[in-house]
Amino acid sequence: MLDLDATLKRASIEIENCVDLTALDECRVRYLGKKGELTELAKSINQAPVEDRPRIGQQINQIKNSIQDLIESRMQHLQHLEIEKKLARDALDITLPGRGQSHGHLHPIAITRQRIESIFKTLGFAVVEGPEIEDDYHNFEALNIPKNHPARAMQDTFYVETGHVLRTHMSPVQIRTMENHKPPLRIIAPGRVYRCESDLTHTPMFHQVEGLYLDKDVSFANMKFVMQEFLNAFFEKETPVRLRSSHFPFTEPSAELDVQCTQCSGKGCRICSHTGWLEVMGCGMVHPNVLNSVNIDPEEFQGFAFGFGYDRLTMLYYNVNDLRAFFENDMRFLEQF
Amino acid sequence: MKISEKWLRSFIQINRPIQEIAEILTMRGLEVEEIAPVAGKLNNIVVAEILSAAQHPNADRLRVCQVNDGTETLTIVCGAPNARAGIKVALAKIGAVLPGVTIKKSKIRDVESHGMLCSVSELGLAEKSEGIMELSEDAPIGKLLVEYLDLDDNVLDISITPNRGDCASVLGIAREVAAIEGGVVVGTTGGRSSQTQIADQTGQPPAAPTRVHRDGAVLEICPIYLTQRIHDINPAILSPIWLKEKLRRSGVRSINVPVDVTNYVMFECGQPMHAFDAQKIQGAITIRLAKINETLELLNDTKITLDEQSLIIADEEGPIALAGIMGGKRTAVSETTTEILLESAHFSPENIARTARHFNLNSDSSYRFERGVDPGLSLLALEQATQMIIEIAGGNAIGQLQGIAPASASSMKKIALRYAKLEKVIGASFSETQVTKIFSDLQMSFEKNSEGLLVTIPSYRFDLIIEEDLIEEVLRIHGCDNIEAVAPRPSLSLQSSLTAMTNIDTERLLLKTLGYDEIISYSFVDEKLQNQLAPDQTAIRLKNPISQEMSVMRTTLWTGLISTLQYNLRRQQTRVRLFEQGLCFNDDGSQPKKLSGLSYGGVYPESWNNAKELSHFFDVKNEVVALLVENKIAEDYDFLPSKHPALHPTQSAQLVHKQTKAVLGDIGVLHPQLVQAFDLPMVPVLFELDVQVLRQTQLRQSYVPVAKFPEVRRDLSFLVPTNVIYQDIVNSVQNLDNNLIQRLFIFDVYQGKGIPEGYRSLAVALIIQDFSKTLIDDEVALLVKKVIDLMENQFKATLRD
Repeated sequence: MLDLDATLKRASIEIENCVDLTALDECRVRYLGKKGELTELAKSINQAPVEDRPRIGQQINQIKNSIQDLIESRMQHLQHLEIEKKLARDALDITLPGRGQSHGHLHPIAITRQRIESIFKTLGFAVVEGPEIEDDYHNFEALNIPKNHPARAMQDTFYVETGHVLRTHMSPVQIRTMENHKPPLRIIAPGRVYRCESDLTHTPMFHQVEGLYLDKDVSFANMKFVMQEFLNAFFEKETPVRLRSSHFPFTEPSAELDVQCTQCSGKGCRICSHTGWLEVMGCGMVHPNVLNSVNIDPEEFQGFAFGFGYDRLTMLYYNVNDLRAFFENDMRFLEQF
Repeated sequence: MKISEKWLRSFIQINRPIQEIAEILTMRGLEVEEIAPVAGKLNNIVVAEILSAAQHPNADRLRVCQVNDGTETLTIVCGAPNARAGIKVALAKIGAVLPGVTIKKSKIRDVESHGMLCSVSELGLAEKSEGIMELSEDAPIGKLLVEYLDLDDNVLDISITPNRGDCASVLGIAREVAAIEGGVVVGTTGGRSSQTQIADQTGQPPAAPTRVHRDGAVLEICPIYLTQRIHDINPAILSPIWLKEKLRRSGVRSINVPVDVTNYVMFECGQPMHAFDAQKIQGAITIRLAKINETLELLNDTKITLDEQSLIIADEEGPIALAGIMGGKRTAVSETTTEILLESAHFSPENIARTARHFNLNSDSSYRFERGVDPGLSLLALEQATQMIIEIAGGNAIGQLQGIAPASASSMKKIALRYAKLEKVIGASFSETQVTKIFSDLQMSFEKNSEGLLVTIPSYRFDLIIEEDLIEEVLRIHGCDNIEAVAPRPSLSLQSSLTAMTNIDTERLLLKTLGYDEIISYSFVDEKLQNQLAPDQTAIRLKNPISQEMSVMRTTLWTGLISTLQYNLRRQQTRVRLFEQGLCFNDDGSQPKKLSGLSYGGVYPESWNNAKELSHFFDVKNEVVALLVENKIAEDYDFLPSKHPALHPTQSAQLVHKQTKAVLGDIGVLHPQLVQAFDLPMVPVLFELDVQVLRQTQLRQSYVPVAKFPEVRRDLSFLVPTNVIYQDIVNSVQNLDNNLIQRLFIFDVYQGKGIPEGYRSLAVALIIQDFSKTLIDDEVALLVKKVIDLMENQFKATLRD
């Protein structure tokens, strides 16, 4: 009798020993190919007694099927290994940097401007612009600052050859807006302003936002509310403020607004000169002379105006300690924002 | 303005520490910027008398003094030449701490010294001094110097706003404190009351030895001019220590008795004065406007050439003082002056401010006059000063001359305050009692009426003119920080129509995404750089630039971009991509807002994947097109050859609107000559767009349906003469059949081997599609044939096999 069991056992060991698909295929041919061991065996069946043939045939078929299954399963295993290998070959160092364009950065002062604008826009303010070379009328006269007024000495003005000035504050934009639009008005005007001074804490060009809110009964108390809301939003926390009386030619009453030092929370530090407070803006009720100069009746309309330098707010927000860094545009500085 | 705490306290009784007084003033509009002690601790320093001063046995320049400190006699070695028997001095005893030194018993050249005789500077009371400090003869021996000189004092540095000239004095600050705290001002210094009685003017003064004329033209700018002549002053007498100390604490040096007294009176009550050497005045005095080219040598040794708006005091020889600002050198009081002419006048703030600004002169006098001085002070101050000078330095006053006081000085101004208005402006209500108490504390009288108050304004409050000024007084004294914040109730009106259309935050964000860093550079730039980058523009020049590097207004943002590039290259950067937005300034007065960029070095950051191409015209062109796409105007503009003088003549373009021909801007490679001039190792590509043009063409777009039928692509390769430009091909081919040709694009450009000289190979892809049906081959073939014909006929191009 044929030792079919031994054949199966031998085949199963050989299949198991195949390390790649080529070897496996050779093995398949050896057993199941046209001249394979089992094919030959099947051919030899007619030499067996007739009565034994069905049983032997059945046995051979069983063994064939078993070998087929073993090859199939070995093949799947080897295919799987092939894929694994390929995947391993394809492996990336995923910690290498990504490819393509670098990532740019917006200027910190411009980011601050955008933040300020978005806060005031939620309060219903529009953002307006105006020229930077201004005439004396819009920069001074219309703002209740006549010639030789001492307030002019407070602002060291740049003059151009035409006799015009580089605007010393954003107020002329308020005047231009009021000349062309009637109240109610809610506007802010951010932009570059210029003063003829340059030292550790002053640059000859800097940035201011001025705002104006005019309506029938907008009051000093409303101003306090709006400024408080703005500062809380800007510094992203409750920011204690205090209002001090002051003087500006274009507002009456006028006040300076201090915020509690953002560095030391009012305990006193170098930033706030140990006062616990930081002077951040000037504000007040629009002076009737200013309203008269733009043909708005001060008995009918009233409101507040405010102005502040946002270079300083940017310094406070990002802990920048040198104002001049903003205008040197060192990429190592810019790329931090 | 500097003011001594003790001087202030002598005018008003207030039981608060100085920090609280400073806080009160600061919150009410008089910002106290600093509180500084007038001296160090100065313990163990006493008034002492030198009993004898003998030559040191071992040193020529030293003296051995026997000094009485009130309890014992001490041996002190002293190097000062003025150490002599009989004078009273400041003795630092063993253990005393002076600024920088602790006094110990020491041996100086074998002689034991038991302390130190101090100079003014050693005590920290002056920057420098000569010899030891000599105290007055009546100084009590043994008394602590701190007590004797009243050194337990602070100086407040107060910032006076331009409207509050009335506060530029001890008296003025005292009035403020009184108004806030509800106290009463009492003048005590020198035995004079601040409410000095106005001298009896009915008596006929003797004829003044110096006649004063006032030119009729200057009546308004010099309404009051008073003089007092004092003769037989003893010029040897120095100002007493208390006077010197008060001046020091007010920030000025002692000079001589007349000058010190005028300064003292000014600091105390606010009236600037001047003392002339009367014997140096030639003939009569005239108050007049200067003549052109008259000159005046001032006390500070500068010589100025006057102009016709300068108000001057002149004698018969010429100008002797710039009125209200500074006296002249020729008639200055000197150490030999025995006869003086004191001036106390009132000048208009505008004139003084103009002249001070014109000559860039700032004096304590002009500081006060330009803010306004109480016209009621002229006479009082003159009397006080006269009295003090005579008390200190002797002499006799002769006569008095008075200019004409304006009629308005006597008629008090009245301003109405309506309670309703007060409440509406502040947004809080006040009781009548609150309001009337505030005006009472301000020493302002008032009448009540049905609407509110009619307030009488004292002569020193010339800043109060309209109702809002009174509202501010109420708010100020009440404390503006005490007002509750109230949310406004806005009328719901859209403010968006006001919004500037030139906001380009989206474009900035896009450039950021494209790897550009935003910069902010100065609007005033170096003239040379400006001329290099915009030689065809005339830049507006600043009259008073900070420096040569910041002297003209930019006409292009490229100035800032190029200098920032150079700045960063000097700091080892090799790849620089920058943009800026901002106004430029043309000499026709226009101020266009521009958006500009610069790309230098690699298109991409240096990286492991070897992407090392350098920024090229076409890289930046693509980025500029992204900005156009953002504004939906990419189809509206042609890139035409640019003539920009700063750009490479054959690698630059101007963006011109197809219909309107409006110029949007320029893009290109920096001109090779400038690359060399700026010493740049690589070549930057620049662009500049006019924001107004970029934004004004923005239109709302309409939806176009997407075709449902398949599109066909045909690739054609042509030999094209090199003078034919791509854009012309695109335009012509596109116009051939706008319905079928959806778009065409170049996918290969080749020039070189295999291509005849004067030609280049362009491979064009045609995308063909019919909106209403599927195209059949014949239709496509026909269209392709048309394209080939057009290329041959119009551009002398041949189809390559």
